[in-house]
Amino acid sequence: MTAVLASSAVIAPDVSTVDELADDWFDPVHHLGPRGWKYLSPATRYLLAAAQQALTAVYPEALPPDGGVSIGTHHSITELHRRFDTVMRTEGSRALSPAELPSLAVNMPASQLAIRYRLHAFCLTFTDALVAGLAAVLRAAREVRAGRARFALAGATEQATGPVLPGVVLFVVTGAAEAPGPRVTGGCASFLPDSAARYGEDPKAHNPLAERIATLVPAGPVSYAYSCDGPDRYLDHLVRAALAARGVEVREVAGRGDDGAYSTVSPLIQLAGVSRVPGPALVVARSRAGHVAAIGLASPTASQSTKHERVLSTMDRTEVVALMADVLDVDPAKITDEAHFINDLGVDSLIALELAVALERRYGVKIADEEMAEVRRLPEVLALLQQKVPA
Amino acid sequence: MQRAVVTGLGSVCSLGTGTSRFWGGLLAADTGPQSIVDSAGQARRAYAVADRDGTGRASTMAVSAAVAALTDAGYADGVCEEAGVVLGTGLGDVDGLEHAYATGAPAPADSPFGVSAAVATRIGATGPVHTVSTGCSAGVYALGLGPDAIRSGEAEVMVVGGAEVLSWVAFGGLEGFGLLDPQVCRPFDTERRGMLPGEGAAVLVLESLDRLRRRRVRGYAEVMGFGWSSDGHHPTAPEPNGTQIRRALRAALADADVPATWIGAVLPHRAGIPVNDTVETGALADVLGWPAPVFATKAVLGHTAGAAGAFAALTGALVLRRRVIPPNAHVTVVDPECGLDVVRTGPVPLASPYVLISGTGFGGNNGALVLGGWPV
Repeated sequence: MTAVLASSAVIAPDVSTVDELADDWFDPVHHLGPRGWKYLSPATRYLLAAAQQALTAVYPEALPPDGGVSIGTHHSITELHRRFDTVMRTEGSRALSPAELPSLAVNMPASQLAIRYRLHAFCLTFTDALVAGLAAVLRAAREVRAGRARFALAGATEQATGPVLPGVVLFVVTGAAEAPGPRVTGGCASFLPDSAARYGEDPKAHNPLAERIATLVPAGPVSYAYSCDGPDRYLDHLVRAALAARGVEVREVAGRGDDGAYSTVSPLIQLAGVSRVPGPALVVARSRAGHVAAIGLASPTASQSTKHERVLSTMDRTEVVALMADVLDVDPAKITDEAHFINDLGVDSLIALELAVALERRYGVKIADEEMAEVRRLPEVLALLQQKVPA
Repeated sequence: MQRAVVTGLGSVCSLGTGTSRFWGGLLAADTGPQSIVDSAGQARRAYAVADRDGTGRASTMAVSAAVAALTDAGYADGVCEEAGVVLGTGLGDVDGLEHAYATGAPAPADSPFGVSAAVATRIGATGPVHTVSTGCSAGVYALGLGPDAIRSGEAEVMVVGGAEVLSWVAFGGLEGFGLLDPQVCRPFDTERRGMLPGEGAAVLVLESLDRLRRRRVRGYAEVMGFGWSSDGHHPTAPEPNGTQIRRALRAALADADVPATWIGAVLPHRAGIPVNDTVETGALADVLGWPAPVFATKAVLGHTAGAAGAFAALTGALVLRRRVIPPNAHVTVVDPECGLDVVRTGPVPLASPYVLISGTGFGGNNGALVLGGWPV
């Protein structure tokens, strides 16, 4: 069995320092509704919101059984612990909120996800610096491959702490037979506390770790992303050298996360980015402390990628939403991934026909009536277009 | 598939430093909590280690136990470059933060979750390094992830275990939940009223069978199987039927290919919290199908949270090496609902060289291990 990243959800503020961070960057009411999140920690709220998005794309109806959870986090309880500590010392332990107290357990974001979606296969939390999210995704892929889970929610979540930016990335990891998506070709975890001292200054020197990482992808063009939460990019140079020696042509992936500003979420922002680009990809992270994690992906060709948004860029999506809002005569904000055309947006058969015609005109494709009849939500429109629009 | 054999042990806890003090404390079965003052000036009862100087003590204790375990396994100066590290911890080096908040000293800038990195740096590890924080079952999960790396060929040596330091905030939380016994941790007593926190680090060195033969070293025990499950039920309460605990136990037995009747001793999570104890022991009795001998460490060690499962594994390795089961401390009247054989005087001989370990935690993270004896 192979494991694929069937969908991803990324929720993180587009800022570069905590000082720029707006207090209301994440609106729980928008993601989670008016109730049910009051006593959950911020990191847990982010994770639940991401799960809603990622799961809808793969399992729009009921979830299959045998799901697992695997989450990385490094900073999600520091602020909470500080607040509880102050209450304890100034007012005594009776003043602590019993409903909030479980959040002191760093495994609670993962456990709340398991509780919300009744996931029984396993519930794991990794807490190492920078790489814990990548480790969590690799573990999920391994469990799915071994048949110990049918699917797993795997990712990372962080609350803003000191200079660390908040955010969440969550993947649905499942078998290739279950859903399309880039295949996890392999991974590697290691420890390299002082790379230059250990391996010498010459980047051309034989480096077993870099060579092992380079074997995760085939020769030819590969999307590549590296992150480090410190100034040392030594491993980056070694990996690039090893890739070049193997005949890999590195395609830079611009984007956030390379400086580790989002802690364990950072490498996963990069992973989500490369997972939406066709072709093989490699994501490598090295923490200041010395943890190293790497993951290789092989994306399906465009024709295999039929079910979910992958080739269409964010700009395409915005354009589709704008066109639909115009045809359906609704506010574009109402056209979310979850909004049901009939139940939520009031689409009837006539409007559906109108939409099919508009899409055909705009994208130069032909959409059959029965195809249009099966479309119920935005992700399905995007999938349909992706199937039809030549890459 | 490579088998994972325990070749070294290290321990720091309220019973003292080193495995002989640990084992001696289990056999003596007479220690309890001490009185200790928390950061708000309140007197607490806990199983604290003797040397409480400095901060970042989860890391300090883990490093000390890891170096001792590697030395025990025959690695000079506790250095092993090929090793990977998997440690369980609930709150990591949270003592540094609590000390800073109480004294007004600057708080450490790093997250408290640097325990595995500290150990990896000290022992020179270059293998996979992970910190697993699945609450109070983290130690059991570390003992599952470590052998997985050896089985898959990812590493030949894994340094695994757990470390936990007393946290006054966690103490207050447990008090808020009404989970603290006012006297002593007494998991098998019918009058038990809750748990009492402890602190320490337990570390085991696991090596592949090939490597063990190559190095011609002795083994304590083999990690034969592990199983995981998630209640997906409630943040703090166990799922009342123990369905998922049963599944983890059965998975571990199946993974080890050991029938339930072969189990010579059960080392449960059992911490003294009445409802959790009843659910867990019910699942154990049901899966085993017979009243196997049972021993819980927490009466003399306290509840060491993320390290508890590692202490159970350490105990299991020693039980298999010494072929005896220590007596349970602090039992006046045995809990009538406990369907297992509570060892009260002893030590008693181990009838069969297989040990079943169970771990549960807040959030419903269940784990189970099967250890097997190793020829001396």
